[in-house]
Amino acid sequence: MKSIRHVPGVPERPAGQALPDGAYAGAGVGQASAAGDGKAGALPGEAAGTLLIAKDLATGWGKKKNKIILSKGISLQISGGRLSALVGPNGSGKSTLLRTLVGLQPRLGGEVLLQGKPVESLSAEERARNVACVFNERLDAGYFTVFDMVAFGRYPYTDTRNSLTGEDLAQVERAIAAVGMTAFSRRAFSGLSDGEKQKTQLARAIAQNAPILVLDEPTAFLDAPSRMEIFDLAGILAHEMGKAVVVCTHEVDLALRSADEMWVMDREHCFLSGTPAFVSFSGAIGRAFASSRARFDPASGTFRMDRRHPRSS
Amino acid sequence: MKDSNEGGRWRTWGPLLLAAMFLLFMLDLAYGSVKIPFGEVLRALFGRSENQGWNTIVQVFRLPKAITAILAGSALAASGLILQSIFRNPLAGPDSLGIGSGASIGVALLMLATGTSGTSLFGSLSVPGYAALVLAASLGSGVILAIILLLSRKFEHGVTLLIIGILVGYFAGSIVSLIVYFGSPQKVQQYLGWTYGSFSGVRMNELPVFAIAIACGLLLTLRSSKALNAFAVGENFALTLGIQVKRERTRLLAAAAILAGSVTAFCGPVAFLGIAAPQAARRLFRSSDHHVLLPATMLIGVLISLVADIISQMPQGGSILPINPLLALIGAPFILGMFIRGNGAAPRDAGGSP
Repeated sequence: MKSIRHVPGVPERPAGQALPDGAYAGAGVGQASAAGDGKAGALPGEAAGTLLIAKDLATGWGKKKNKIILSKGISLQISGGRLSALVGPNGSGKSTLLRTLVGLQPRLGGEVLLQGKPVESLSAEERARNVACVFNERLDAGYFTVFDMVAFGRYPYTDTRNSLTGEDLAQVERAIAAVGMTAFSRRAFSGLSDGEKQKTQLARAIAQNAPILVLDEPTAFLDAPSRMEIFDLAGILAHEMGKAVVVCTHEVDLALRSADEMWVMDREHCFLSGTPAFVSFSGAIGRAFASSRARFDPASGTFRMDRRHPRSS
Repeated sequence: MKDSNEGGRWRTWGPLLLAAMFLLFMLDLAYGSVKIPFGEVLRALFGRSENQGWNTIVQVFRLPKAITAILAGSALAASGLILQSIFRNPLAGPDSLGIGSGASIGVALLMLATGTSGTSLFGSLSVPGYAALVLAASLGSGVILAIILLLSRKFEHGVTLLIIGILVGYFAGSIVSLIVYFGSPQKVQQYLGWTYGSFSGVRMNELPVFAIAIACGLLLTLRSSKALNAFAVGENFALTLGIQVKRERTRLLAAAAILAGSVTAFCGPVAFLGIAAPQAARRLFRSSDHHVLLPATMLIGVLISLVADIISQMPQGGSILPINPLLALIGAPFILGMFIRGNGAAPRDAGGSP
């Protein structure tokens, strides 16, 4: 346990100051690795902030016999201070990839190194101290307040009685403040709006004090301002708090505007990574979301109705 | 989870419920076919009453029965709470694991195999007959428990397990009804007697066995009440907090099954308590923290079972009413009333955006 490197709670970095441009260099065209490339082990040199490395990863379902491989040959790395967005059409295997990456689902090939160690060698608690996930799942919070829900983030650190120390309480308060929910902290979680619930979940992930944050469709069911807020928070977590943030999302336009790196999966479960500009202008996003009615416009980063195929009715 | 509000609720309700429990315990000792004055009960309990008959009645018959009611009430309530939280389903209870059905098969087979004749109710069974009954019920629920635990390691989702539990229950139920169909009327009568449930079968020297079984179940539960909190919120939620979902779930299922199984073995299938008590505790204490809920649920379970036991003595004709129908008869309207009054107030029902 001691050998696990820890990114301390909130690294001191002046607010609003993003990482220098040079830090993005690794995400260039050179790093893009198409799926099916069996020898994708050749990654660029490990950057100092690299927290997680996946090599030639295969994801899917099932065990040794009759296993269904969704995607294979995926190689990527996750570093502190960067926001990576995973986009792709429904059923392309985004959630499966995320769950496999953080060791919550067995992988069907390749390897994943978390803090330099095989992810499966970590105990559940060690994993939770290194990766905080927010899944899109209906939560039965009962009578738990916002504070209670955020305090769950301290689980990997507390004893079996779950007694919170003064430091634990302070971390919970800070996490609630970081998402701007301090005024709500005594409210019942189940009475919140979906946007407020999602922010509370983000605060819980912050309180978990893990260097890697994985958010699975955090903007589903949210209205437009709340969606922007969540992406804004994700950006702050990455660029100001120095976390490695991975967001799986359907908000392609928001992702292109706020992410440092894009991961694109298409309907054939092929994986490609690169800067927002690269995946837009190389046509990767257009191909992944190919549709007869909508067309991706790289210049604006949005989808447009395709008038070349008017409605037949 | 350190909420002063919950602490406050304990300070008001805790002593009140404990006082009610003591009062009901004394009432339970006082009531019966022979009515003993309330003041004399305490003295008879320690063998100090002038009336030797009262001493014997309280010490030999009513004390073990009252203790059995307390043990059974707390164990079933705890078991119900565990299952409702694991499956995130307010309707889950000891019966949804098929534990009761497993015990039923054991008992029905025993009835079929042995030629024991005689009356149906527990009290009139001979001592070896009763021991065989407990053994058969334990074996039956143990086999079902083993099946459920094996499957719980194999399947990822709680809902799947719930469905399996219910299916196992149907399966066991049909075996029992086949046995009953081909059984002689006398044996069927005997089996039916068991299904009515009773707290009066456990004798003083058997109580330690019963108590130890329940203590084991409770210890297992206490070790996992942290995990139980996270389970109750969500399965993936628990997973991301570093809880070993499968291991903890297996441990908690084992605890729930030991608790419910031992009660079923000693007292018959009195499962209703397991569904009712956690509901009442959640609403009364307005808490979802299992460090609060577990003792609260057990206390309420004890109150319900003591009330039911007292009412079962009510007719002064010397006969006692069967406990199982009584529990649902009193409990169901009570819980229903709570649902109707608390409608909208319970955050569990609120959900969605305002």
